[in-house]
Amino acid sequence: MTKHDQSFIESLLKLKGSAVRDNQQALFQQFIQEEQILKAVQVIIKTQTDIVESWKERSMIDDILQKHIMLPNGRVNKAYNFTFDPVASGLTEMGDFEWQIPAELGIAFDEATNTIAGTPKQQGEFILSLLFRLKDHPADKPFSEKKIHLVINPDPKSLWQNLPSDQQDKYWQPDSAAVTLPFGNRKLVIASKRGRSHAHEGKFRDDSFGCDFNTEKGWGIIAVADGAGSAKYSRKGADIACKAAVNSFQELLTGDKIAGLEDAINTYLTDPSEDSQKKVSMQFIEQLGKLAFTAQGKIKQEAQENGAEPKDYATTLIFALVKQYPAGYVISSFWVGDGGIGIYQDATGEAFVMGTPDSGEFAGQTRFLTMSDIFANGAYVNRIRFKVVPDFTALLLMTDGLTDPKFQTDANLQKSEIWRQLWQDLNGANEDGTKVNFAGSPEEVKECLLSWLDFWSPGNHDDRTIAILY
Amino acid sequence: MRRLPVYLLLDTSGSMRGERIEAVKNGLQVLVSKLRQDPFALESVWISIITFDREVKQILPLTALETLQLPEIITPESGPTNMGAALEMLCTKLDTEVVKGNDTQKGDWRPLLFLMTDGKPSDLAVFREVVPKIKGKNLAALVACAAGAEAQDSFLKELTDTVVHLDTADSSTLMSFFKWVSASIGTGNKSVGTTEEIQLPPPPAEVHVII
Repeated sequence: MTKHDQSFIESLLKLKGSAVRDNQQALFQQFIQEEQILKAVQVIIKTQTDIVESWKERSMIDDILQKHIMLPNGRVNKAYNFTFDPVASGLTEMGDFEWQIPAELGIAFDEATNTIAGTPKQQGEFILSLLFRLKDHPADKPFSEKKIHLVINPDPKSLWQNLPSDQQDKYWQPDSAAVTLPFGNRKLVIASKRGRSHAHEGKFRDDSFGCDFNTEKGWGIIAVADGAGSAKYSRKGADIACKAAVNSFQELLTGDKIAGLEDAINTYLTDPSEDSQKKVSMQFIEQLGKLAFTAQGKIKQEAQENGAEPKDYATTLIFALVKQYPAGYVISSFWVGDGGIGIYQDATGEAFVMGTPDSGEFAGQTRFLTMSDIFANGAYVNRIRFKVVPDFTALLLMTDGLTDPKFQTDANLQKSEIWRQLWQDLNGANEDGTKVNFAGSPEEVKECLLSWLDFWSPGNHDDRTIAILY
Repeated sequence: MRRLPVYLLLDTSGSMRGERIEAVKNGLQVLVSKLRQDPFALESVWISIITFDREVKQILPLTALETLQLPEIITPESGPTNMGAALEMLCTKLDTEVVKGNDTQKGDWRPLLFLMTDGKPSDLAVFREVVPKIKGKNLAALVACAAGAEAQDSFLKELTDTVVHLDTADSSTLMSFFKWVSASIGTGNKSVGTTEEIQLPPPPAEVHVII
């Protein structure tokens, strides 16, 4: 018997109140030599060690079980990749491990790269199992199990519903609309589609458009409008705004006012002096201002007749008047609200943007044609622009359903570079390879443009309307 | 990418301990799950949670709904309800976390605020000082919820016109409140004029609107 074993027995006897007395030393020596006692001591010491080891092990396993392992959320159809580093995750005592991940999830653990990777197939909240042994455990020891939570988000694309809008509604308009129009030696195409956010809730398309071309006078008008999502009758507001602009344009052409405008333009084109520019500007401000003001008036009238407020019909409005002269195209525009209008020339890659959008501190904030201060104190003057260009590839008018995803910011809207990208995008430089073949028949261009409007852009699901004079 | 920031200010003072805070946790879980089924929310909602008791903590910084994982919520045994201090913190977070639009960056959607308490502000002086600041933040919606009999609507009325009252702060009532919050967030993405508040969906029967 070792010294250690002997002192163990002495302590035990003392603890149990039977300490070995001084005069019993000889007896004790004999006692501890007995086979049976020797064995019993071994057993006790081993059992104690086992208990301690077992507790240590239990405690280490519990440390691992308690450790919070955060798996980043996944998304259906989007590649998932998570590198599992036990030490970095604070699982320093972990030895062998194995992941148990239901096969139908579409992701698996790859031992070679230590990653959980794959493309998730199912959305939901799942429990994954991490089976493990402690570092010093032999390979035949059963695994312990740690459960780990994993969230797989749905693919947002799969969540959008396409519910029809209520055709019985007094202000119903089709969810999608498009038109083509011969425009002198140019062609006009306009396409408008209900946004996914509206389709999802069976709501109406709030965008609208209008156009006309007078062959005899050579003047044409193009208008797009975006009814405010928050205003209940805004689709009608947008519709009235476009129709009113077109109607007043037709009246303008039949009246004698057009002669004054033509004179001013002709003078300016022959002699582009400061004075003649001023005069032609005054003419445009007067005539386009009148068109816009009439549009506001028509909306107010509609509101009154229906016992509603003009703000219930809140809408933006962009329209352009275009005529070709020997010197080039005279283009004049009025713009209130967001969206955009620009003249693009592909040969130089240059764009001329006809003003600035009204935008606020936060997204979705803008100004509307229906606001009473739009025409107060001549404030509308800055909304009217005119430009003479020898030639152009396209004149584009868009609602914010297009300018938001394609230009992102107001600063970008002023950059020729982004307009060039948009033109290339229309010509097929996009993820889906959707191309509008402008050389094709007007009908073909119209159909292609409608398909092009379906492009995917996360977070941008507003109604989309685009008018292209090409 | 336009974000819709949603701030949840939750009372975690001693009185919330037990069933109430468990109900709030379940409510948050349901709120997040429901929003994840809404394609617009999934792409645009960002959530932040600020809790207030004696201490004010932002337990979840403004995080995309898609990536967020709900943090633990712990309530102390007892102590004051520092709602004023929580609103102070909110002001700071609105200034630092929310992106304002300018020429070169697209602004976030106007933020939404939901505040829930089962009591009243203990730091009344701070509360009254911060209220005008919050009102000046041009939030798209500011909903204050008084949960349970001891909750006092009158102080919340100083903060916002949209005060709702829950007669009892039990699990099912709180759950219907959180479901209504998730429906309200769904409407927060609509394009609106500069100062107009968003139209909230009608609340369920358990949620009374205080006029």
